[in-house]
Amino acid sequence: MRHADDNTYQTHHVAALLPAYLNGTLDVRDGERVRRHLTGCEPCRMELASWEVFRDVARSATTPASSPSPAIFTRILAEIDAAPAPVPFAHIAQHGAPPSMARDALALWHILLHQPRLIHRSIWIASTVAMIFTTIYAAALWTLDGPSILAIFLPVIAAAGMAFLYGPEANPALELELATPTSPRLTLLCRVALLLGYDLALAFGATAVVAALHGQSPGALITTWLGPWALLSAGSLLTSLVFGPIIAATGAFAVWLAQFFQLDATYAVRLTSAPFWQTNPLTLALAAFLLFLALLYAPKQGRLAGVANE
Amino acid sequence: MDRLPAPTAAEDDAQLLQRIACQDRGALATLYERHHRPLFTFLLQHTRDHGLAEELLQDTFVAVWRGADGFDERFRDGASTARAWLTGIARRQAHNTLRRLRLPLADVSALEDVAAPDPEPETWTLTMSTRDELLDAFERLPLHYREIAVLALVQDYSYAEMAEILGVPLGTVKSRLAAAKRLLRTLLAPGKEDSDASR
Repeated sequence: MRHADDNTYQTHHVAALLPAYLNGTLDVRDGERVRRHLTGCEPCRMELASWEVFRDVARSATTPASSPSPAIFTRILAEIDAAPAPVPFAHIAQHGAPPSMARDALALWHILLHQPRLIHRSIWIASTVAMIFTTIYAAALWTLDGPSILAIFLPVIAAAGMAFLYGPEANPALELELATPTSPRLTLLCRVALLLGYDLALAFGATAVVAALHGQSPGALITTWLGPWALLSAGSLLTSLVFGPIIAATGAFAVWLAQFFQLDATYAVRLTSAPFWQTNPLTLALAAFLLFLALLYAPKQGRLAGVANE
Repeated sequence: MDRLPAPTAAEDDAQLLQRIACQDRGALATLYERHHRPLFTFLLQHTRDHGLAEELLQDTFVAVWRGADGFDERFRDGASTARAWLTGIARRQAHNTLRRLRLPLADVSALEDVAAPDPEPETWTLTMSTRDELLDAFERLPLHYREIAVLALVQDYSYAEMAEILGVPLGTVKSRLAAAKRLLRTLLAPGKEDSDASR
């Protein structure tokens, strides 16, 4: 029978805690609270009875018909002997416990080595192809507005890569030759560093080619896109972690497109080829701050734990 | 948290892993002896193939051997337990291997998830079904519901441990358990719908 006040009914019932109460994993205080509630609440007692039945059937269903073969452990040892532990762990085994900084550095290197394969191949390919076209486009149309072409396209290429760094297209089949869990923040930092580093190298390359072709200073060209590049990439990454890759990519494109609309003195909308964002300490600091927020949020992102969640 | 002290076995597991990190095979053998049966039971939820489940168990302990040092680093503050760490490894091995082999997961049900679970106690209980009906319905639950039911109700993991094993927030653990029970009810024979006259 339901209580007259449904809000009270929903607030004070303990249905969500009953599985933990049943298996004894509630802390003492919550356990006592549930016990006291059950003495005066028939619906929750019925609910507990249902959980007990669920438990009994789960136990019956999982009583194995046969146990694992006794030979499995022998096979485990044989596999260990056949493929010695990776260098970082062997180093630790040989020398006891090295200073934690050395061990951290070894672990970081081990993680970094594996991350490139965990980023979907299409991201690397798409970034490279887009960069090649941008370089050709900027070089060919230099006399029209070459610097702006770099400033327009380089940030959005990097932002698109960041949006899909952890998208559903990420390649789970290659995940976890490191079968053990890795810090989500460390994983994120390694992947971001790798992809951003790659994008930055491509962008520098494109800038150098265009600058060489037209006798321009590479440094001056770089300042036309570096700040917006960093800010749009960091924003795209954070949005991707919180809302998913599609929203992140769409949002990045929309925000970037909006850069090129300006209001003139008569409040008419005009198109411009120069983005509003500039390379200055403010944009770079804001980019760093957004990346920091992404790292803070990282542990909440189940995809970083290594297995795509249901 | 005023929880009762962890049992001695949990402390021993952490010590075993520290020794495994120093290449102590005896410690690996002890850890295997202590945990291989529940891990095997858990892996059988992911595949009906007994041989494949054994391979996954083998892979799990090879990964433990190689990554034991990672346990020492991550869980020194006692935020997790060794067996939750082991189960997380086993689960990831199962997912990765089955994907790589392009094998279907042991999911015989084509049913969609039920809607968001009702946090209120249900007025109809599972006690109204026969044991055979319940067993049949349990086998038809999708993998992610059977998996969490086994973790919570057979292997007695806490919500925090299950959140770590499954890589989901704590709230998702609670809602998924409730959804599993709701789906179990849905799978049971029609005619067992709520008939509470006070509604």
